Amino acid sequence: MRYFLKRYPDGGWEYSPVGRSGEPREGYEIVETIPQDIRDREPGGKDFVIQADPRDAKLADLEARVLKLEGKTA
Amino acid sequence: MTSGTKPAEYYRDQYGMHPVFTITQDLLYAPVSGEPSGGTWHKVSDPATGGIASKTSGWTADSFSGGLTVDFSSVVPSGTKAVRVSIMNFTAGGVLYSRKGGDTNISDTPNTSNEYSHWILLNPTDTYFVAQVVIWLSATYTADFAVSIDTMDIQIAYPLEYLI
Repeated sequence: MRYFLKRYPDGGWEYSPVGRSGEPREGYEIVETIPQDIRDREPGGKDFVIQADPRDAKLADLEARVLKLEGKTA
Repeated sequence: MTSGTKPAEYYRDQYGMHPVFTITQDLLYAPVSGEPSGGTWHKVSDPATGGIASKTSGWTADSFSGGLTVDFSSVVPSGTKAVRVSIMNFTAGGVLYSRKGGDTNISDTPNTSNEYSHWILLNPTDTYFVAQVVIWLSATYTADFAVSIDTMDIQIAYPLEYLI
């Protein structure tokens, strides 16, 4: 996947995918992946921690009990 | 009045008789002329989890030309009309607008007070805000985005679904 990338003097950035036509966009460089320093600062980057939802554990427990009732587990 | 149509009723006032016309919902929400009708939503089987596009600087407030254009053509099949994506706004809150790429029916300088239909999210705070929205695409699979506050940060995720 290739992206148009522009870095701004204030430390900000803009990126979006290069389309099928592959035509260059003035003022943008083309990169194969989003640079790590940008990815780290975005939601979804390594510094973005998703809190575990306590409901997940309850759901897993419920599913285990259903499987047991159905005789699919011991 | 279109030739051959006849108003269903009339009203009278001091100036005489006047026809009453009713604009129906069908007419108000008719498809754009030439737009193919129908279509089916398809789930993207295994969407990439990162951002397909992001902009954290260089905005001009209330301006599509000073905004972000995203070309989805490399990630959707030919014939795609719209995509459903998650969009995150962070750092500063405000209104995010969208339009089909280059749609001249929508002002290049949208106004928060009178163009509600093109809002896709309003974040009243400076914290994270996420919306899952439908974005209509141009014939070349692009969409334009604009913000009301030039310090807003926007990240757009890979499409979850596409309409074709």
